[in-house]
Amino acid sequence: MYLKIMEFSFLGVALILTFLLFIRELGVTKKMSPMRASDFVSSMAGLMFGYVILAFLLALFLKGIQVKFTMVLFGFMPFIIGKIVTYKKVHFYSIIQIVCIIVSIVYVISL
Amino acid sequence: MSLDFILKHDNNSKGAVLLFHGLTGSPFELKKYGQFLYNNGYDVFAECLPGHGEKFEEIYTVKYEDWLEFAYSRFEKLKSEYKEVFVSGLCLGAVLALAVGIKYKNEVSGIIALSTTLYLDGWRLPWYKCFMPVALATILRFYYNYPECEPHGVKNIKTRNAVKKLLAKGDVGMNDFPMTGFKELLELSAVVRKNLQKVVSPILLIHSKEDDLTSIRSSEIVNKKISSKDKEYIILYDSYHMVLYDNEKEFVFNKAVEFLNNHIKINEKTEELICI
Repeated sequence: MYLKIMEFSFLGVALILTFLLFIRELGVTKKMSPMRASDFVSSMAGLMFGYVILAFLLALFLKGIQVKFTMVLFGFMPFIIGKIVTYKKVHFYSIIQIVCIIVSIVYVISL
Repeated sequence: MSLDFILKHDNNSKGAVLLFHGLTGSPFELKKYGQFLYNNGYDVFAECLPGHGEKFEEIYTVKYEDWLEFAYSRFEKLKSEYKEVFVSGLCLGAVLALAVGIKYKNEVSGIIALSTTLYLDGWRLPWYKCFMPVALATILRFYYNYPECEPHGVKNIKTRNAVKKLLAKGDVGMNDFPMTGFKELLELSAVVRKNLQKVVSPILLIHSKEDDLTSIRSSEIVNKKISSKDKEYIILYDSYHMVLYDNEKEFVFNKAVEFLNNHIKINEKTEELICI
């Protein structure tokens, strides 16, 4: 029961996060006022935090070494991308980040 | 337009004071302070920190190591020319002044740290600052610029309005704080925090109780951890972060000069004793 709630929460958070990252890539925040853009990115930070926590929780409660390892990897992915991203390649890494989250959604659905 | 300034006496200067400005600021914010020190007999040097030049994009690529290298090289240059070299700074500048104190120990005649920023925990920061570590460690740091907003670090309404106009022009500093800059500042702060016990130079710490960007906790930690026997810690009660522009600026200026004069005298007395 709790595992199902966790899985659905993970999927919900990951979907919203993907949507926000995607519309940010379309340049929506450039049209916003600075305060609104700041709130927008802060919500993404909150969702990213939720995504990471839920990925680790799923890794803790799901069965199977391979599944656990994959979920931990998904949990660490935003930090790995954060470590290697550079200002000049930020768009490229944004796409990588979106793809990673989409892959994690597909993976959790397939479990 | 370069905002760097050097104020040098032709002869008979009491010593050199190296000034560092704050994050997203420029030497412009130190101009009145520098002028006051100059009028009191000191040669004053203030240059733009790396990443704070004419190209806005540079703040996204600068590393805290670049700031350290800059601070060390400027100090070494002055030390080769002057017997007495003091370092002073505001916000990030204060952290750099401490870093110079950590590396050069007794070679630094004195440190004046104003609104030292070891933590970003001031009351102006929004409630969602708790997500900041996540934003800083991920790609989100490139998406986010925290907008400069009221009260702009200034309690005095008249000065605040003047600061607002200057920032809107964009000539004297940046109108917002890029998260990448915050990240580098916090990494530098962590390095400095770890090594605070290596600071042995005389030090004057000034921090406002109502600092809107960084709480008084930062200065308290510095005051507690440093090894300097000669230290003075002053808390202001009628200013925010920009203590050099706020209601108690004259007090800050006078305290700084008093500190410099006292330590020139101490150094002279020590030399006399050695001669005897």
